[in-house]
Amino acid sequence: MVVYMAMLGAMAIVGQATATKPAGHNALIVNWITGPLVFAAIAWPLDRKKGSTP
Amino acid sequence: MGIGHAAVGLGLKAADRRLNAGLLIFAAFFSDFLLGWFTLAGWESYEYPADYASVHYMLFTFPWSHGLLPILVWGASLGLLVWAFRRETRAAVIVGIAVVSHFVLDGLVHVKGLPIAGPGSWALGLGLWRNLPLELEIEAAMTVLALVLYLWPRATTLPAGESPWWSTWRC
Repeated sequence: MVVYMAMLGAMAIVGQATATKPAGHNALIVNWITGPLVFAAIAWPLDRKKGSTP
Repeated sequence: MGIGHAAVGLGLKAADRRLNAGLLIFAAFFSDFLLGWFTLAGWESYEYPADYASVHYMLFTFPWSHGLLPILVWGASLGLLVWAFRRETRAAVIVGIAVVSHFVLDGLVHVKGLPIAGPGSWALGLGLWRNLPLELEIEAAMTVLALVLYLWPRATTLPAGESPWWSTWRC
């Protein structure tokens, strides 16, 4: 989870700080819809794995 | 705000270790999930300021996915859904808080503001995006704090059946 959050944070922070060109309409919509699902889908098994670790 | 939402979701795991962090992260991003669908439907919109290349932020008109009253409804709805599956009020409330946290965080950063009660209503936006380095530092700090809460040993080393101190409150 630490590695995942670090990667996610780096991508989000660098992405916003360096964005200079507007993203396309369709790309934005796809990001807004799939982003939360993907973030959650990756975190879910990582958290389950942590929970099962003694 | 971006990673800050994930940080809130992850940090809320400390309030109930039985809730999966994936669910909490999804709940914290739920308004953005709705924004995608509502923009697709033409109910909400966005625009790029002329100086986007230098300011790096967008302007939104999103009363239904990000307005305070609608978010309270979304939070209650998702909380009720969780309650229907788990029959645990605390879990439902925590998921609802994760949803509503989106308004608080975005209210800090958005420049145009998040409407309180729907289209045309007063909007809250403190505009932290105008100071992007500071905003990104806050998000990074939130991420570190969330990981500390998530990995905090006390809750994971409690004897079976014993609850952490913050779980003693009842809804």
